[in-house]
Amino acid sequence: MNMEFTARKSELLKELDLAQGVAEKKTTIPILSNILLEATDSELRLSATDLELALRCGCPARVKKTGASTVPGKRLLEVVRSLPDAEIKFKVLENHFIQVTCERSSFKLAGMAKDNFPALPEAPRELAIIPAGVLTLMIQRTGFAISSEESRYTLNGALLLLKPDRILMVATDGHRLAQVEREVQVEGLDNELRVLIPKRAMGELYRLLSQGGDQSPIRFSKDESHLFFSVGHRILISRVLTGQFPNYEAVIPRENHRVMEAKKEQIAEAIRRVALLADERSRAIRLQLAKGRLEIFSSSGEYGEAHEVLDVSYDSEDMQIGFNYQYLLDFLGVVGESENVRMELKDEQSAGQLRPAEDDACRYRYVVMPMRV
Amino acid sequence: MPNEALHPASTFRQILHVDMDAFYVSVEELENPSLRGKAVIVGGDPDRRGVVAAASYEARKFGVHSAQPLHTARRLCPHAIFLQGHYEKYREYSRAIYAILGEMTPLVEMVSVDEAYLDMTGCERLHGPLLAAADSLVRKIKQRTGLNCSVGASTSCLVSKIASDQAKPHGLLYVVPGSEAQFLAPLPVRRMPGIGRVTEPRLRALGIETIGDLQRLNPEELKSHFGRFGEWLYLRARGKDLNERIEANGPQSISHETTFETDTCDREELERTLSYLAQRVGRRLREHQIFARTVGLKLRYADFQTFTRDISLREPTNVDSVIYEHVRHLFHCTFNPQWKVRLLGVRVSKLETTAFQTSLLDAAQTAKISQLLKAADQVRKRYGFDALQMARSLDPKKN
Repeated sequence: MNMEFTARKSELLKELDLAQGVAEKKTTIPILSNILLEATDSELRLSATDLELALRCGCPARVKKTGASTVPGKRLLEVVRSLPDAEIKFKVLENHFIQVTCERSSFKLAGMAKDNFPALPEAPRELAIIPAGVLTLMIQRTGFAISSEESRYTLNGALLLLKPDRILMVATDGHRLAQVEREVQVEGLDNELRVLIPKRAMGELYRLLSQGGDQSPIRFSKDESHLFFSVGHRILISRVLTGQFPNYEAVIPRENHRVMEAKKEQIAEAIRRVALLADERSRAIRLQLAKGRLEIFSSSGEYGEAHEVLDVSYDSEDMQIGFNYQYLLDFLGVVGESENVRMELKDEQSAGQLRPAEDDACRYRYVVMPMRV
Repeated sequence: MPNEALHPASTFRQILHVDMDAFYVSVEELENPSLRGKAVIVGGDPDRRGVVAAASYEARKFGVHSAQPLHTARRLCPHAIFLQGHYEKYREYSRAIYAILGEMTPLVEMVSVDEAYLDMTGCERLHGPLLAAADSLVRKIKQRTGLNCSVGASTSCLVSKIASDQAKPHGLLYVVPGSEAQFLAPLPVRRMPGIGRVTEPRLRALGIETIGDLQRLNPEELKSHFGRFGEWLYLRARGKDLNERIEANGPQSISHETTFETDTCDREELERTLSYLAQRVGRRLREHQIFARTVGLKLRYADFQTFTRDISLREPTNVDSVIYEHVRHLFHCTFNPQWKVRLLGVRVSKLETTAFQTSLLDAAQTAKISQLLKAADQVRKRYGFDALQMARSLDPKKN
């Protein structure tokens, strides 16, 4: 009955770190701040959930007595992190206390009965196998554009569109929209599949993928109310986000004939410099375009103003347009290998489209509404 | 206070209060010189319900004053010429005046179309001593607009306002720094802004008739009678107002309201009116090229119970239909159909004059509506506001 096992610190820490990312940070329901530990024959299984998201993972263990218990996640993580890279021994004592021993250190953590820990749903039959590298890149290039405004419920996630021969991901916060598309064979899929992935699930999935390397594919499945992403021995479960994602195709500009092309690093640095004196609240900067030339302006009532001139390729009429500098930098930070970026504009009131000058394996498009300045 | 922080050398502030003389009537006279020297009342048809918006000095001799019911005005001055009023014209003149004031100092607060405070602190090198600056301002306004104004000059907004009132019509009154209390002393308490129908009788009961009487009371006595308000009275009686500040940020809000000819609880009519007012407000926003982040409703029932409600928008707007949609929502949440409504008002505030982010998902529609409104505004400029309206504000019975 009294679980007892030994695990390697380095192997356990990785899993604990992931689990703690999902465990509840608030203390309203104490059991949700705990991580469920289950020792089976040769393995330790970890589970964490905040009822929105759940993670099941595990690591090899030498199990003396099988069993299960829950431990406060944050404390356990801190303890394990502080220990030397050695074997750590766990033993459940009376009243759900858990003794953690490593070399000459010993801790006694107040746990809770496993019976109170919510049961996690089981993954149904898998629907598709998604290449991990592709999804990592897609999350990176769209995740930042997801809205954090709780009132805009359906924008609190990204749309994942799976087709047998392509994957598409779109995110928007109502001010800008990031869309990335990749032609790739999606195994196991014979029909189109549309799901909304909540913002937090995107973040944790990204963490999971960067831990597991790009190698192992993602086995994706879903039921009525959950999405399941299983990567190697770990599985991330997310509640589905229901609702109608906006018609993203309708906002992709079609008549943006004024095209500017600039060196990515150059324009990013210039924007970062000019942004230093932009109004802190609005984050507005003004771009002024003339033949072969881009001028960037900012001004803040409190601190002063900034101005920078860049040589760019631009051949259309003079125009000026305002943008939130952070929105531009978000794109420039993840656009990828392409040396040059392109900005396609219509007029000062219509959305601008940004894209890498040369597409890599993904087709990446970023649409931003201007600011009125 | 920020203005003093900027000019640590000056020991007191220099405030002008500019008040146009019988503004609406004077504009009417400029446009139609035959009205000159006659009793003219702007406010509309005296057979209908409404109040006097402005009266010429000739009409005032008969006891007519603004905010008076029109039928009373007609009884007092039956030979007066009653005009509907050309509010677009008044605004045009008001803008011209604002431009002139802006040449004096950047700290100009227009408190209404015909009244403004100017903070002239630190402007001596530009315009000379305060009195000289005020004098040249009065001349400039007369020369460039043909209108007369009265100006009060002193160390505070409060005293300047009372001074301009004392100087009317077409006068200039300078209260020398240090003599504020002396200047106020002989005036009846009613002249003090903030003392009205409620406070005046209470003061009279204490034997206080003039501001001088008020000055003789110590702060404890005033506090025992009026609480916190007593402290305020104590300072005000000496020409001091610690809270006054000149807001040079243009208008803080834009509103339109209307009093019904007869009180009504007809939902159709009320919504129609809201739609009309929303368009009025929207147009003003576009005229100033600004956008509002908050939309508000004012609802006054027949018994004068008044409710105001505000709602914040996700994105600032100057679109009539968006304003209407929100104010209608507020109306639905507030209106009790068992009570008759006397007055409705639509007000927008949190006006966005700096940069703001526009929205992506309904961008195409917003662009279309903006074009439409631009065209509508051009038509209205030519043929008057009522030439073109949203169908919602039209009365099916009349059309």
